[in-house]
Amino acid sequence: MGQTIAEKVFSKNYGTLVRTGDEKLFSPDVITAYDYPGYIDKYEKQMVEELKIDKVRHPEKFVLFIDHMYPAGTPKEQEIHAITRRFAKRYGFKLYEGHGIGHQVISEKGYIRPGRFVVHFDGHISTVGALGAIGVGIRNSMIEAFATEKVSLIVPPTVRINLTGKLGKGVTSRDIFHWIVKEIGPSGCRSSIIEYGGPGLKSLEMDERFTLCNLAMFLGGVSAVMETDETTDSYLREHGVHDYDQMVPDKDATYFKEFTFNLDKVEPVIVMPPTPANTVPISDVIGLPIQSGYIGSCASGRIKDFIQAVEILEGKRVVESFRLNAVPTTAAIQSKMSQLGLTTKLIEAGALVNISTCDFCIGQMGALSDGERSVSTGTLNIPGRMGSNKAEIYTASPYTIAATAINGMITDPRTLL
Amino acid sequence: MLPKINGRIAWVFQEENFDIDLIVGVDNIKTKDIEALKAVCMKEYDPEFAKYVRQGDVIIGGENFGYGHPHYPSCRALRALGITAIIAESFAPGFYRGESTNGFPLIECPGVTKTASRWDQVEFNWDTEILYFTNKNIKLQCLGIPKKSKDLILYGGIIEYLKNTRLKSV
Repeated sequence: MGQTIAEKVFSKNYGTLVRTGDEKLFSPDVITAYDYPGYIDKYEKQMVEELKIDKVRHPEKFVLFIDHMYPAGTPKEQEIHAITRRFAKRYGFKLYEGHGIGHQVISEKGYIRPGRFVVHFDGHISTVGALGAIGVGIRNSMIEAFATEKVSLIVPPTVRINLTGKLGKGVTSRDIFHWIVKEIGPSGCRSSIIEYGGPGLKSLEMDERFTLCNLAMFLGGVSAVMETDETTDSYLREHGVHDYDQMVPDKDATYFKEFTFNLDKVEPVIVMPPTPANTVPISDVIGLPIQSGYIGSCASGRIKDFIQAVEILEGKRVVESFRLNAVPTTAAIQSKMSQLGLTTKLIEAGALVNISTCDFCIGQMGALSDGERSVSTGTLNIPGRMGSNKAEIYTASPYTIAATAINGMITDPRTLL
Repeated sequence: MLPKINGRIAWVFQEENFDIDLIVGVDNIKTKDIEALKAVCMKEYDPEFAKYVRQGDVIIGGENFGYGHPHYPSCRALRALGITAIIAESFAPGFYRGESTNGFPLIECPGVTKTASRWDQVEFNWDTEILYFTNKNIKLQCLGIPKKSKDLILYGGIIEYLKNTRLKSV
């Protein structure tokens, strides 16, 4: 009987064949986390005071990031970062500070390759699935990983999503994901690994693939993973990763569910507040007045996203009543944006181009006030996520946000392309 | 010994994809003070919830309960008010992982929202995994609870679990 990609990854990790439903102790290849009050500071307390562990066996498996509350806005936030620096030093863990959002930096720094199993407390680590690895958000059982370098997991079933066709003008991977939520519901892949593949996937660039994998939790997924191909190879080569096997499922693999989506049919969508479960076609909300826009986060904020925004914004101006924040996912992406001239074009159009940080996504910077509406590529649109809980967040694609910034109201980007 | 689950249904969340943060309100998800959390817990659903709930009660949830970005204060508040378990049609995986790691009993019981009414009396049998509505004489078969989840409940959370099992022989 053939294997899904997930069964291959977990079998390789465990050392013998494992199947969906098997409850085993797996050894993550990479154990990663970012700091925020109640996370790394808590792990330090648990490791040092409660479990009295003074060293780990494989410090090279661990990588930490300072990307939230960055740069620190208060002395208290700086203290949280100081704890993280101390924790990394104590156990010999690699720490990246100011390189950008960890969920992406981890791939840029060569930690991710096809077949690897990665754990984080945050489920958006599913982003690494775009490179044929499986990243699982294990939440507060991270201490299990820190203390024992093993985590217990029941191998989840796999839901196969076949993509066919090609995206039309003004439509993005952000639209694909939320379109799928609209079609199969927010629990359509509940407690499963989403396996993306098919000819439609081959038509997507790496930046678009990272977006699709990043959002797996909003389909109820444990994680997402993609078939690897020459596009994956080229990204890995560029980031110094050469030694790996391709990740594709066996032809006779068994799936819990299978869906096929034709990318030709995907249209721009808006995710309405107050939940990521709530997708509507853009035609339902055209003309709604909006005051703020955010292009960035671990879900979006890559080169492709800013190329799309610039396609709309070049030679035009953001309307005066509108604030547009452009926030690259990583410092490396920010540098490439400059090389490509995207930064200048965004600034000339009236966008505020910021350094890479998680803080716009969580209302720590660029906060919304009561009654304001924002269009956002952030991960989440629940009340209070980006400031006031009386503000409304409409999740949309970079194209749609750029078009909305020009008109100060929700605008179908296809009318400006 | 696994904790006795025998109490009243303090609330039924019929809605699918319920965002757990709404139990204390998004404004309070960074609150650490347990008394403050108890004071706001379930206020939007029943302002007098804290007054009527008692030790041993349970909460019923719908499909994909815990969807979104779940945070811990809501369940801390529920536990502090006496809630001993959440029994739902199904749980979002991130929520399940987080709260089972805290040693909180989460039981998946297909059909539970169709049967349950507020203040029904229920009893859960850990061996047969049957939920018994004693006032209605209805029995529902729940899904199997993973061994690891049972261990975490038994030890009251991940730290004691690690100390008493995986780190014991080291």
